[in-house]
Amino acid sequence: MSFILYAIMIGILDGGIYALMACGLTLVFGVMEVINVAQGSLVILGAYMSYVLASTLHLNLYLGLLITMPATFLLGMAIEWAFLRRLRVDRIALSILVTYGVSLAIEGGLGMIFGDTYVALPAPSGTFTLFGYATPDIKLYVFLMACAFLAGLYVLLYRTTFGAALRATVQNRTAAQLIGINVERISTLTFALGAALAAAGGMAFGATRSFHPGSAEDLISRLLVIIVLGGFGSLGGALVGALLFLVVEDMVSVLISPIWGPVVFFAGLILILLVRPQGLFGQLEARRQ
Amino acid sequence: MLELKGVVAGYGGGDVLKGVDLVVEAGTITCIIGPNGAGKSTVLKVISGLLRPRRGKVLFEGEDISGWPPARVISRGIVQVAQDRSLFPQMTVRENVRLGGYTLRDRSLVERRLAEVEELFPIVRERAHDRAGNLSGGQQKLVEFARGLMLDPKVVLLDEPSMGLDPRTMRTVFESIRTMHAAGRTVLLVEQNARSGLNAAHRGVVMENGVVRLVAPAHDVLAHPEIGELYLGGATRPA
Amino acid sequence: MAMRGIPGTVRGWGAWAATAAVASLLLGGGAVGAARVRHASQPPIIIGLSSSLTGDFSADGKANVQGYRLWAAYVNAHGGLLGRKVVLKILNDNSDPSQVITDYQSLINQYHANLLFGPFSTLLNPPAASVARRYGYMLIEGNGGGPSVFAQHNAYLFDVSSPTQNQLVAFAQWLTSLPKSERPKTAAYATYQDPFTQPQIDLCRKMLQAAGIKTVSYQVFPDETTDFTPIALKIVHSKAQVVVVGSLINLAAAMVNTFRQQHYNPEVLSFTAGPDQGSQWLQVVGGAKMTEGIMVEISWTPFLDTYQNALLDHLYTSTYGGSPESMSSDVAETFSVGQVLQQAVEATHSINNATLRAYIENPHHVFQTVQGPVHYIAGGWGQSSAPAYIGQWQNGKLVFVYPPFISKGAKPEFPKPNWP
Repeated sequence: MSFILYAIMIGILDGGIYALMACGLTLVFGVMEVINVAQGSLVILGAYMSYVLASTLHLNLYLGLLITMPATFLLGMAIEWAFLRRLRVDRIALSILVTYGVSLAIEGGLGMIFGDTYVALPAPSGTFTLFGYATPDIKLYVFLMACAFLAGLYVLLYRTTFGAALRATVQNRTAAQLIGINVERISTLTFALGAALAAAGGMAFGATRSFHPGSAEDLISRLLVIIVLGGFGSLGGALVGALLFLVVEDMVSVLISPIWGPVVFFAGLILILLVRPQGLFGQLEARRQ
Repeated sequence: MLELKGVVAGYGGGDVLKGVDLVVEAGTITCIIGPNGAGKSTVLKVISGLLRPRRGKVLFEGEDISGWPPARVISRGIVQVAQDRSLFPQMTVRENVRLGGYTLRDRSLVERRLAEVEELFPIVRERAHDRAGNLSGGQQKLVEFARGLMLDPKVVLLDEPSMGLDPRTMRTVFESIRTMHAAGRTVLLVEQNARSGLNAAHRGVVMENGVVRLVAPAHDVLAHPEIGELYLGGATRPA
Repeated sequence: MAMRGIPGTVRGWGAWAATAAVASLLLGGGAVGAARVRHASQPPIIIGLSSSLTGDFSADGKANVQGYRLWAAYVNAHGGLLGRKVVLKILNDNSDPSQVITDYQSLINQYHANLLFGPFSTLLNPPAASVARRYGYMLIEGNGGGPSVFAQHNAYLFDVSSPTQNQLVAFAQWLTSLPKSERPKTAAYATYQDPFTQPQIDLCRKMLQAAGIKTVSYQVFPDETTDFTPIALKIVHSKAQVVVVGSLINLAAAMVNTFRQQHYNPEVLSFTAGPDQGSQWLQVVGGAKMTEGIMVEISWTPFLDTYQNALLDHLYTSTYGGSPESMSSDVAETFSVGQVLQQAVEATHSINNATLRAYIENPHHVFQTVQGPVHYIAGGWGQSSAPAYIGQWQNGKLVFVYPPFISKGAKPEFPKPNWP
């Protein structure tokens, strides 16, 4: 029994990290109608940046975020300006192509610099006991960090003028323009914010498992599934979707078999989508323009 | 005060506006009518900055504002209320209206305006904490008007305000348009429901196929035999 | 052969790799043509082969060709085969099974190849071998050892490498060779669900069960799994004395970390991949202390003390640059193809396919290759006896500990010492 509880707890701890990695994806879709397939690569890029800072400058992982997040923020602005702003028609479909290209470029670049070898971030090796099982401290630390970022994001979205403008843009882009919101600026900032959060997620990801440039591929499919479940554009959806995904996967893999983890999850996802095609927290009406 | 000179504009390949010349006099209610695809709504979009004209000029109080982004047009005192539902459905009514003052830096001014607007549109106060998406179509339209007035604009552009409303609600909406005008504002309105629109307006503009066919006092347009037959004859909906 | 494709990057850079492969083909072709051969009076021996210079397998296809080239260049520099120069005729199959058939038909009919070498992968070798059989040619190959290759029952095909499935055979032999009193009683298995690792684990499990080692946990998980904690915990829970994992390096590292955190120390901990990856492995597990006593099954590395392996290291680095570690095992596998052919030709003084085939398939004839000594198994349809070796981390070094002919006295550390 305690084993099952432990599996659930591990699912929750990992789910927090996935929520952090996925929140940028959902925000970007909400604001820009762009499916950012490069989110996985941005996460891995962030992980590699943390890796470089930790292994060359011996910089604390959390302090390293003070460098990696602004850097990816700027990169996000550049990507938005260079590629996405130019998409005027058929944004969703074209954005997949464009961001896929960006993703391949990032992955290829990382492969050239670091080679296709696995690395891990230097994480403290202490453990704490949870339902009788030793659990790495780092899992808890990065989970708390993910919670802090998500809480910060919540405050940004719901307690600031920028957040109100962002939400307005999500809910009705034209109306947002008509009240004087510069939606292009909001788009750039949102994409950049998503990239910066991806870098934080990358640090959390890399501190709890080893990764290589190709890790982005497995990651993006999981992140997209989380967003589909939670509902495109919904921050709460990303959180609940990530927790559900990881908890279900871990429980099934403990109770039945790891092979069935994703199967059970996808079966559940299909059932949910039959009842709520917009996902758990998605808003179909919200996207009318 | 607001003038369009030879405006050509469109989406993608073709031109929807093919050289529009139009003058809107200060302090009037002007109503644009015409068949579907005549370019009525496009005129509003060009003025508000949602669409850049390909050729021609938009002049406001003598200043060339053509191609300005919406935020800049708003700062000059021109506000558009979009066609259909344009509230932010997940936000409360009050949040919506307050966002109308998004471009104002002075927070206390926003609160003052909010109070004024609530005076004018009591529904904003009554349903302040309801989600905007839960209001009926007519109520939403009034909240949209309220949101538009947060900037105390000189010109209000209304894109088919009566669309999808029942006759009773429509009357309330047109009363509100007169209220807005009574405060000295210029109103430029596009109406599919031509008879109601012209009844509320001083001047009528008939558009067809991307150009202005006729500009005349509203009652003249209403009485115009040819126009009546074309756009008003079938439109004997109660007004 | 590549056990598991590395997703993503290979595909992303496939086009570049293909370009590089074609470039090296052109450059290499020139090098072979220029090689000095003493007995220029006799016509050269043409060996035909097709490889995946473009398409899905282009990275491996390039390595496949490198091994053949290194062998041919070496042989030509030392008098050729039976005094005749060896010329490789290489066609590109674009990783495509139907193109492979066309290629081998052209090699035989149009280019009049005397002998044939195999293409890359378990997918492409069977069609190539079918063409060879039809024309009475044998096909020696090194990069296709999946069960489906031998299931063709094609007596004209010879794989010089260890069949994929046999990766854990030496490991199972070692465990079952322990005296009954010392032998562990329980084992846990976990493997990716894929056509390479799963059959290895299953065969190993069968062998251990036959020797009375009970299976207390058996887990198969999908390819895209990235969160391994639950899988590792199930093994911890089973308290198995032996743990065998069909793995990649990230999985192996996650297992090691979880086991250590849970204070679970199996007597034997073995992976099919991961701990063989030197500095990369030390980085992901956090240093040499963490990996003491951990085993990994290896069919070839540049450090193996086998016939001409040091020579291959030298040929590779002097031809292609880099370090021996940068050499793909694909290269060693196709180099072995040349070694087997050369030894058969020299023993029979013939390049006649029928003569050579009869010689090679005789299980009493042992060939020395960089992968170790091999002979062909009677009724094995081309399966060789090529072994996989047990490597074990001992005092910060990966040491070969089994079978005894390679271990040079080094003994498996058993049971595995506790975590630091």
